[in-house]
Amino acid sequence: MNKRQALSAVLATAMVASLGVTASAATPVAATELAYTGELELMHYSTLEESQGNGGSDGFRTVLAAWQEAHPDITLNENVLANAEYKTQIQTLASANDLPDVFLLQGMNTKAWAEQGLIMDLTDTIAASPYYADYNQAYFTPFKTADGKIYGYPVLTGGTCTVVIYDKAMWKDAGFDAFPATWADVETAAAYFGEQGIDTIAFGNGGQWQANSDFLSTLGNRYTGPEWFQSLIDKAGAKFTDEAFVKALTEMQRLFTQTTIFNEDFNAVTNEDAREYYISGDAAAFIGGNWDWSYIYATLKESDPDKFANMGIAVLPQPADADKAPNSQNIGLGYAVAFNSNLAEDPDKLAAAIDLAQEITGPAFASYVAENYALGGLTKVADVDLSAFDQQTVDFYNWSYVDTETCEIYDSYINSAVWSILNTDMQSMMNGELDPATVAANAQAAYEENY
Amino acid sequence: MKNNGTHKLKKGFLGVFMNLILWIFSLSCIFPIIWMFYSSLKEKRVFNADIIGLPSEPTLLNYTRILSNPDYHLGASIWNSARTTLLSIAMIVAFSFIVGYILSRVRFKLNRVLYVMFLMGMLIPIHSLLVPIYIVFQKCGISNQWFTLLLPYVSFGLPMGIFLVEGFVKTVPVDLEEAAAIDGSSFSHTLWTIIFPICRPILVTVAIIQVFSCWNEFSFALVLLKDVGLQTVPLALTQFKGQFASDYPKQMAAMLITMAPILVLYFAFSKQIINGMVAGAVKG
Repeated sequence: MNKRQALSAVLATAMVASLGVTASAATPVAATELAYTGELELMHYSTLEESQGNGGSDGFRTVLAAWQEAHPDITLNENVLANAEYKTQIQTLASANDLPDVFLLQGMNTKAWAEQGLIMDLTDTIAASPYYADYNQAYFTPFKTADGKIYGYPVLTGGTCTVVIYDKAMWKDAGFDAFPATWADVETAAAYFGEQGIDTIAFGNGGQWQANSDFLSTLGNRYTGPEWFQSLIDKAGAKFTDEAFVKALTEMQRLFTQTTIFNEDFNAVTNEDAREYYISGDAAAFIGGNWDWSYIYATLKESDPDKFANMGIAVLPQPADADKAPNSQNIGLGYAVAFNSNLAEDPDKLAAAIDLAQEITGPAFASYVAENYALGGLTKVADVDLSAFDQQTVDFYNWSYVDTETCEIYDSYINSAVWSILNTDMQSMMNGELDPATVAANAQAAYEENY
Repeated sequence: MKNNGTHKLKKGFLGVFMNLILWIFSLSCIFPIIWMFYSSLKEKRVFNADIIGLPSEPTLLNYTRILSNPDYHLGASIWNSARTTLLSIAMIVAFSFIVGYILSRVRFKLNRVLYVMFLMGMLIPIHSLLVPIYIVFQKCGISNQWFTLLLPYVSFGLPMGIFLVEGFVKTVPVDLEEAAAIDGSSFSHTLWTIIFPICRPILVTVAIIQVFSCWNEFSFALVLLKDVGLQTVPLALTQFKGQFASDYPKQMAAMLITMAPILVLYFAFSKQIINGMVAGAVKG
């Protein structure tokens, strides 16, 4: 960012801060007076379909509509695409140096786009936000560069990517009052469930990303601890070939190839198929993300009240040779509201963009998703009233945000080319076709080449 | 007599076997459509529990949800696709005919060079051109307009069209044009009233191939259009897919709705289409 752009950013921030915010009765967003009138481009992936049952997307659309209503002089030109298509188009726009005014930045693009000067440094702007004190600082990590600069307001909801959902009654019959804390106990249970003709845990890795996001990120942390991954992000010396990470891969391969814990078709079916095994009672547990929990919750509540009442949640069991963070689960925000660096040339427009970013990540959004979905976002909500929710939702909220230790979601960082190679190799590894050392070496080669 | 009977039996068995194979091939083509139809009558939960089974309680809920919600803008996307496809086809057919004819009949110095250059268009993967084309369109101010897609669709449709027409025109006797010239017919009159009707089978083939290509095209539409109101059908269909989950029955209902214009077109012109395909296969 040059001096002129930096000055514009500071001025725009000061303008927004000095105007103050006044709560509006008509809308949940703060009705800030904005000097800008005209068009503001916004690109995101919260389609109508995405928002149905997805608290983050629903909250995003709701607060966005309220912001538009509060600022009728600003025409928001929305370009809304489904997530996969969004990622393709935003990459093309970045390649052509034609990013929209405001868009959602994926964590793994932060470093490269910042280096190319495509996105605006928002460090000072974020620090000047009226909601700064309530921001969950840990969520900024994917959008920071090594020099500490921040390039986005983390957006949508931070839900877990690795949760074990289990049927308490089935596990009680197997001799466990709660879900086992170690894989050794799960293997004992697998012998019992095998005799019953049901799978112990249902898992679906048909899309390849599930093994990474919903399993390895947490399992790896149990072996390496968070410092190793931070070092990998910072290019500070950690390697995929480090012994601790290879041990995590080795354990993963053992669990999927040498035990009978998982459904045989885990590499062919997706998480959407695998969770049906759990719902239908063909599996005693399921491993997936918060989106799977929401689906299972809604389905069982409607179709099977007994099974719904027996729905329990747990962290990934601890491997015998792992010694770190046994109560951890990976959680975070993969996208942030970011600005085209050219926006600095128009301070009024920039002020409008800042206001928009602050509102769609601020208390209006956080309250909406907490009250309606028991989910959390960037802005913390004090004393969330969970009294309106059933026990399952309250338990899941506390498990996600209060009772567990958090770790990072691997593929929110680094580079998609690296994860693409690791995910493909991992699928082969889980079939027993590749050894963990080779998988690690290939990932390291991709890391050195692309990051 | 006995040999004759054995021969008939063998022939009969062979006939049954061949028919069986054809039935299997036909069913493999038709079944996905049938599956899409009855799956669109299921709710998401029922579909996810059993993706192949018939619906126990068929419902039109997916159709009513799609058609009653303007946010899905399927009608607008069908109109956008139809307009872009029809205009593209008209231009591809007209330009392919003229260029193909000239390359086939008129001898000039760079004739073969030009022909090869056109054919090169079939060898270039469009994904490698997405970013450069986007930049050019953006600099020229012609991206994100209702006519934006016409240029790439026509450009990438022409090589195949020219290749087919050029080959077809070679099979048309030159005597026809010479006789017309002797009778006083002008070049353009001969071209449009004599050669064009003769080339109709191959032009129908070109049109058929390009209709499906333009209607289904995704990459250029994704990159060159930003306005939701300009989205074509393939782009509009992506909205039924979520980041972590998809509502497949609703997606299938939407696909069937958007397939309707193409199906109507196919049934309306099935005779010409089949004739055109056969002509293209034999003479192209």
